[in-house]
Amino acid sequence: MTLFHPEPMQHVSLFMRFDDAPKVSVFLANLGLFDPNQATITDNNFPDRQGVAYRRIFNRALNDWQKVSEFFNIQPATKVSKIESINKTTLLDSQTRLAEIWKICLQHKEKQRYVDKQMDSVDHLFKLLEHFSNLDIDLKLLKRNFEFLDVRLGIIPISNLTRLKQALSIEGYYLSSYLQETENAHIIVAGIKESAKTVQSLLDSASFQYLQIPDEFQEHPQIVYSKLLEKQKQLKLELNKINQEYQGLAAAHTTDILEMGNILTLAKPYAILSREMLRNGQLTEITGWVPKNQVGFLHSYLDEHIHNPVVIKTRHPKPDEFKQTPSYIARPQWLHPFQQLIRNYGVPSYREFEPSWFFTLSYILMFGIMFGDVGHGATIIFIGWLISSRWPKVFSFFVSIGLSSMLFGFIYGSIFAFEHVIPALWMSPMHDPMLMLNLALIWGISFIIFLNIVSIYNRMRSFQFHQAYFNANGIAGLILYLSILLAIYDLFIHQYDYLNLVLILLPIAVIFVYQWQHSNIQYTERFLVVLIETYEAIINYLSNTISFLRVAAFTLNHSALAIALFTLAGMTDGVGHWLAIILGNLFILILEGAIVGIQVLRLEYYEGFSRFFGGNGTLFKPLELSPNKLVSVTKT
Amino acid sequence: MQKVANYAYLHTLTTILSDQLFNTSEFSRLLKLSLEEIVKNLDNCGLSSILIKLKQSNYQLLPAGNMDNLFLSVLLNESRSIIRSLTGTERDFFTYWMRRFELQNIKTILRGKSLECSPEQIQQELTDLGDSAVLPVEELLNSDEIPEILNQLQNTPFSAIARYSRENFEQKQDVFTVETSINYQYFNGLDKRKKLLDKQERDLLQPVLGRIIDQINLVWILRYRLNYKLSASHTYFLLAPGGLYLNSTKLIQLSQIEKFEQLSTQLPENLQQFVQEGWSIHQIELCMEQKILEVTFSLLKATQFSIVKAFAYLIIREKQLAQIHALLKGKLLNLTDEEIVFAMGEVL
Repeated sequence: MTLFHPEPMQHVSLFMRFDDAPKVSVFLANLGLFDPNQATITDNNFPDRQGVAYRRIFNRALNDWQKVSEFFNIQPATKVSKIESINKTTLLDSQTRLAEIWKICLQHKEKQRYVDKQMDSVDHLFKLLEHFSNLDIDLKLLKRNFEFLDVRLGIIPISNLTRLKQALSIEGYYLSSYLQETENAHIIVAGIKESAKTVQSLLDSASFQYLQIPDEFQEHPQIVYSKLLEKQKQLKLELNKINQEYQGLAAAHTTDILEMGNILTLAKPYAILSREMLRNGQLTEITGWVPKNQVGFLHSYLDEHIHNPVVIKTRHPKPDEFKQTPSYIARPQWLHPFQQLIRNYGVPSYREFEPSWFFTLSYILMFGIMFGDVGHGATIIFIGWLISSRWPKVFSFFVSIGLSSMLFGFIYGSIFAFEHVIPALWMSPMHDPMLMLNLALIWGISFIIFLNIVSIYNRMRSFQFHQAYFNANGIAGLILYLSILLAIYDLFIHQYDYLNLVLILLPIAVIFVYQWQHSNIQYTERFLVVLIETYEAIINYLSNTISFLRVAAFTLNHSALAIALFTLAGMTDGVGHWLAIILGNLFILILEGAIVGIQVLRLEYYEGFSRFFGGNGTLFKPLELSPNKLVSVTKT
Repeated sequence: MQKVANYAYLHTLTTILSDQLFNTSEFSRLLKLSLEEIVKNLDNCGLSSILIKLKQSNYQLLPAGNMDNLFLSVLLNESRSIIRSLTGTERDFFTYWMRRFELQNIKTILRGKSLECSPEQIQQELTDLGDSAVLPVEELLNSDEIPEILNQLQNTPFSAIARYSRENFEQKQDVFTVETSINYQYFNGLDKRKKLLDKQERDLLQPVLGRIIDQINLVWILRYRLNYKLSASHTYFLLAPGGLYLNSTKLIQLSQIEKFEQLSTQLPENLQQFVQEGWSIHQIELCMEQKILEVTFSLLKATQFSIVKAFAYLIIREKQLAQIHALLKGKLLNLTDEEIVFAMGEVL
């Protein structure tokens, strides 16, 4: 295990009989150390492809498997039962079987859909019936076309109700409102047909909208209601029956589906690898990446499980392959939550400095410095323990920062904001704020110098020597930074002279010339761009350094909040006093704790990572045999 | 005491504004004067902006529309001052009352669109309401179809009116129906807002507002029944609620008249004086209007610390501005005194 780099990798080419390829694929996946990604090197000696039909069958089977397992809500097994390769015939049988099961599922779904639709229709009719429920009349009559009687049913704006009723009375019509809502009134209008035309014009002016009576409503609303109720009951019975059928189907097919899941999991490695396999007659080549320290194990493992010989050729990654070589970062379990924070920024490329240890230790240290309190630290650990059952991965994060907070709590002599309960191993930050600010500045300068050295190292390892020497983050930049610091120091002790100026101007000139040579835009524009970029480099060094003052600022802030808390608590007695202390502590813990967490992350990302970390790497993703990661392999 | 405190500013404002009003008899005196002398006499009428323009144009006729808009802006500015001093339901009532002019613009746009006039032609016919306008005139003018115009109105204070008018248009597809629907919805809205006012204010308001509604209803009955031949029920449905003498029973009876002659027998006693044998609808309208002004004048003088005083002022001011406008325009066009009097809306 390397502390500051991804594990060394080997480019591996496996040569085997073409019919051994499925078996080799399964065992490679079971081994979990072979990453086939971006490792294909076109080889003119292996012009053919294989496994096209296999992949097609696999994809169809997988598609059906995903649908049926979702339909029956079946969770795949956690691991495969027996390591074996799946031949095309077995895969085809599975695909056929899955297609049959899916067909049965579809029929069942259709049956359920039909009953659901009828249920919806009944619900809709119930809602419609509400509109007519106040009518004490056979609804069939309202649909009938009378010879002399004009009957209409509809809705009008409620504001028109009185006026329309009076207007209709002029024509000898009768209006009755049987339902009134917020804005509308449901009305029935009846009169002699003779005036129908006049009434129509009047109703149009009153914004009358006809209500259609559904065909199902042929009797008195009460009777219609009872019939709908009866129908609803029948449909519920049918739904119950369908549900029982579903349970039966699930019981009948679950074992099959789990078995198919097992088969597909075993078939998946070959389906994936066959995309990249190269074949010439009887011989097939598979290429990929394996951690260097596991190559020997790969040899012996394949020798043990594959009867026919598998020739393994290994080599170091070539410089032009560094970008695509996967980064395998093996770190202790407790670092994983911190690694996740690094991954939010990016993945280190293969030859890059891997910052897990640096990030973790500096994060824990800065959090403790800025949030030092024995009680608060213990509470953070307690919170971590509380949530660990739900989010086990974050436990180590809470424990680490909690312990750091506790350690600095002892150093500052602070427990739950009380500064006189335990003796300080050193002193409370408020006793000497200037010292705290100076220490923060020294910490920031050391942080930046260290990361500048890392940046130079990264470039050297990637054979980017010019950048390592002349870039703003290279040796020239480092000299510039140190010269500026020296000049500031000399200014303070009144020993500033022209040598300081020369020491500053020289690296600036180097950076300027280097940037000038690496730009190919028009001269005037180039001059401006290079000038601004050089100026930005200087400003960045200064602003990044000053940025670290926040470490001291938050340390003081924590003490200041404690003073404010006790001032407030001092204004009350008894229960109020202790309530103020408890609530104040909660406030400090939640608000300040979160702010410190974010500020430290900000320092790491902007003042740290931006200086050296490219984050353009590819994570090592070995081929695996995991049934719960069944995804489609669509690329052919 | 409470009313004095509440309406102190409104009362003072209305009292000051009322000084700009003329006595009815003064119009007869003005009629005899030359244009320059009339302008001198209008010095204290709050029309300085118009008179300056007139003088600048050397007493020439201003372009069509300009003069109308200048007079309207005087009324709108004064109404804004009055509305600013009100709150709640009272402010809502006055704001709604002044929206009549925007309603007129909506109707103009609808008519213009139905006659396939260009947006520019319609624009010329619109009243410029300045800062008081809430209608998106540009969007309305650029809409191609009447339903689209009514849709655009959904996002304005006229949304309720537009919704029902749109339903009417969908059913009948003619602009007349939409216009009658707009009128009906507007007066329904006005009646609703009137009912939300304090009872004492409402009772004081009724002699003026009720008479205005009576006048509108009577004119509509005559037009709908005798000119447009609408059915009695349809006519009744479209009438405005809240009249003084013409309650719903009376309106039902009046909506059923077949001839002009039947009108006087059906009218209540207080309104019979406004309908004479052989009069046109316009004459009846003017005659009723004069009575309204008479009542409004006495209300303006009689009421103290009340919104009715402000309402009365706005009614009289609107009428007098129209009369001054007609007088000046008549003089500029060298019309005869009879023609000017007719244009001023006086019964010959």
